[in-house]
Amino acid sequence: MRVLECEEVVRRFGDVTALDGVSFQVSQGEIFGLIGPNGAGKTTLLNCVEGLDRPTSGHISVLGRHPITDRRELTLRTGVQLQSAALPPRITVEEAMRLFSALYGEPVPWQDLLTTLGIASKKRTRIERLSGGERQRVFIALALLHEPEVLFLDELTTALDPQARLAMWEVVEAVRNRGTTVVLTTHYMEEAEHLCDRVGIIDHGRLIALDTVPTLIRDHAGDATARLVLTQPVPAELKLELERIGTVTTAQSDRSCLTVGGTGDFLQDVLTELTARNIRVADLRATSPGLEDVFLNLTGRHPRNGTQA
Amino acid sequence: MKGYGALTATLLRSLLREPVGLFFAVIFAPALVLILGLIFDNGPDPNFGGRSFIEATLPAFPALVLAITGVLLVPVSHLILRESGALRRLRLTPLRPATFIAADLTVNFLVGLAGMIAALATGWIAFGVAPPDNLAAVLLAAALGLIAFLALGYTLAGIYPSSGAATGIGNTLMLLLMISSGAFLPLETMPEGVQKVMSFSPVGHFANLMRGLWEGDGWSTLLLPIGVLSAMIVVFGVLATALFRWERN
Repeated sequence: MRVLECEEVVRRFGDVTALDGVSFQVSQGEIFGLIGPNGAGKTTLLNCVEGLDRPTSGHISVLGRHPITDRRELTLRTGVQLQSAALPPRITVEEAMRLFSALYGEPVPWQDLLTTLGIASKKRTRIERLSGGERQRVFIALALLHEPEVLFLDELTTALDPQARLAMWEVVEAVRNRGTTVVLTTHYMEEAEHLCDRVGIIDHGRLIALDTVPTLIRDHAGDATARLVLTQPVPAELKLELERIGTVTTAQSDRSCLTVGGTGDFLQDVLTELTARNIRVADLRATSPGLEDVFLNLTGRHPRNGTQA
Repeated sequence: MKGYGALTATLLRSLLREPVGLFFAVIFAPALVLILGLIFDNGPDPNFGGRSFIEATLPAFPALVLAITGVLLVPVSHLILRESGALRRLRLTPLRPATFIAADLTVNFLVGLAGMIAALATGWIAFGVAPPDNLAAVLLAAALGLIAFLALGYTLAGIYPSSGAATGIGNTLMLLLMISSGAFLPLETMPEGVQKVMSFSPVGHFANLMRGLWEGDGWSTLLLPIGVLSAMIVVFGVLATALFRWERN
């Protein structure tokens, strides 16, 4: 079943085109990630999906419904965590949970939810006095009260410390394991690699790639690199011999150090060649390319701050 | 209804925990009754038609609450909810817009009425100005004025560009309205020209209505202030509805 369908979604603000013909679909039970630098259009897209904003053209359907005309029904079936969300000031976690429980017809017991999220001990604390991670958990709890079929998370872990981020990943995985579809935005590539079944890369309002993380890396990340330290100086002819191997793209030597770039299982080929020549390896470090490299290769910019590569 | 009750309770808590807002809404007017009373209340005074200062001015003190609530507290608290994103978050729940507005109006109405009653009670307890026989009519007029100024407040919330601007502009407006209310000085003691300008002040009309009822005049003799306040409810009610926004721009 299609949980979310976007078809040629365009959103213009005056002369600025924030979304430029975005199309994709999200299936039930997926964790789908939208990645891109700040200002790429991720939040604009989520706003349109949540019914807070209206696309200039194109079509969006959430659970087969229209985000704006069916918003009331969708508020009962979707859960939302906004990038800049707030509650009436000076209320406690408990008061927020009670308020939202009253707004939804059949909420789950909020005490259990707070326990699951590890913030039960904070229920009498005012929300503005919580740490960033605790605050985000409150907003997750509010988004989960009515057991939504799909959960939208906008920059969930931005401004969280690494430990809180890891904890938040566990929460998202637990939510999905209960059958909820998750659509999230992030500009942390590790987060997308860790959590997402499929990832869409947005840049300048356009969806420039969409696939599973391994496929994106295979198709767009470029070479992996291996740095080998040999027990002897690198023989002069070895560099040429290695470059003759199909999977190897580059080879460089510096005394006993050998740096080889390649694709696929090039490392196996390199080691086979070394073994055949009875050359022994003292140390080996391989770096495989990640989503960050995919992003860099597709956009020419770093995902986090958008600076030129 | 469940949502209305819960939201009203939440907004009331949120407001009552904000010391400055609470002070202006509930404590400022009675405190001013006390202070001005202690300074100026020297028994019967020919300037006030043989009445004491507080006897002459007390019925107009609720007008202070009105001015503060309408031009300052309602728009500022509403703009803070809008700017912080709280309205946006509430919009993504099954809460109906009308329910939100009803709850918000209820809270400001209750707090405003509490401030008015506190001001009148202070005059009674501290200076022996007993409430009139037609207290119910006085309170009804207070409620009418409050509703008119809540509508004004919601309109201003739609016009003010930000909560910061609302505070600045609201303070100035509030001061003008307060001076024109007749609570500090009975208008009769002012020059004719000033009185003429003041005659346009909606807070002045509210003060006239309160004073008239307090002194035992019938509703039929106070049609002008009643008309002004009713017109405010209609005009600002329509404007507020048209200007209402969930989102900051």
